[in-house]
Amino acid sequence: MLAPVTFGLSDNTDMNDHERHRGKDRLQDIDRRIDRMQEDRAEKARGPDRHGLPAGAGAILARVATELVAGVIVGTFIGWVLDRWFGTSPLFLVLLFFLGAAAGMLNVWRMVSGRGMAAGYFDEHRRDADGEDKQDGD
Amino acid sequence: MASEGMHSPVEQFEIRSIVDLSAGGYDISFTNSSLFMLLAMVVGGGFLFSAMRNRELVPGRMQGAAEMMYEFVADMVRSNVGNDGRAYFPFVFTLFVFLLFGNMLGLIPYSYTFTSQIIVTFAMAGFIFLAVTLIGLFKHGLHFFSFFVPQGAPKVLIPFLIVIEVISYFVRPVSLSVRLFANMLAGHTMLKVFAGLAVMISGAGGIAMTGSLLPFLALVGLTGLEVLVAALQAYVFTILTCMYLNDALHLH
Repeated sequence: MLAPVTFGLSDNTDMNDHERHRGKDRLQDIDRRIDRMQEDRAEKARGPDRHGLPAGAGAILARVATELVAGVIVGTFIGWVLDRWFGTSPLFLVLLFFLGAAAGMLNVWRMVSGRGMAAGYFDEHRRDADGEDKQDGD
Repeated sequence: MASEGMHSPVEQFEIRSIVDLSAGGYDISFTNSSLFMLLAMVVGGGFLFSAMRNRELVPGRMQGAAEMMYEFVADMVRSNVGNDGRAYFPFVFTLFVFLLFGNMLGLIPYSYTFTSQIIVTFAMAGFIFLAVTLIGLFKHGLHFFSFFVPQGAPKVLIPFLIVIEVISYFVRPVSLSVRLFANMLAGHTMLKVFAGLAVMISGAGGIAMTGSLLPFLALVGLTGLEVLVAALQAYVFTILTCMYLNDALHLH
């Protein structure tokens, strides 16, 4: 689709107009390609992929174990601190122990359901409605 | 000989003071741990500086390695945080280089692995946790707390779920620091146990000495594995930092 090279050979005005037209076409084509590239980048930026973490069985197992144990530790620690503040030992310790275990399990569920290590709520319904980031199952 | 010459496998984690310092009643001595943090910084920075000093269009080996590292982290930030993440790239890159060189230098015999101390990894994870939370608060204001409110859940359950969400948020710095620390601690302990085993068996003398070949071969394999773990854990720590940053910036 390259325009024939006719520099200095043709002084036909019709031909020159044609040439100019071709050049404009190509410029527009380049514009379009740059736009497309920038869209691609923006697309990539919007939906972060959480598949960068090692996915071997051992790596996942270690991560599950860490999450479960860390949940219980953090929950129990918060409970212990609350008990010391309010002098209600062992009410909060026991309560937060179980809530911590639940938090650990929640993190494991997030991990195995493709949400990576992200904490916080993941509004998959809104995302599905937008037609982006479709996940298998549910 | 065996019991006398055998070193404890956890002796390598002992903190020794090199220059005794104290300020305001706190012990702020320059220890072997501080020394290797400084070394990780100097070697990491020195490597990048010397690699990029004589820049060429066609990169040499050093420049190629430095550029690879840069692009690796830049790509990680771009794909995990997006375009707003570019402002945080210098921090993420520094973090990666520091951890990578810290882990790698720790593999050299007689050196010290500062990432095998939970207080070091927890200080780093705690700082990242605080920074990410503050970034989220500044960027979204009070809307940031909607992060903890699950939508579409039955109203009765919401207070209960918020507590669980908050705890699971506070789990982040713990699991982030424990992962790095535990990997380094376990790996280095295992190396020393196998090395000690090889030495002990070779002390038996005679034909039994050939038995020491087995733990020795295992040691060679383990060392290779540890190089992989050192790089992988630096990578995992960095990519999780990126993910947390992404959550704070975009709130889903």
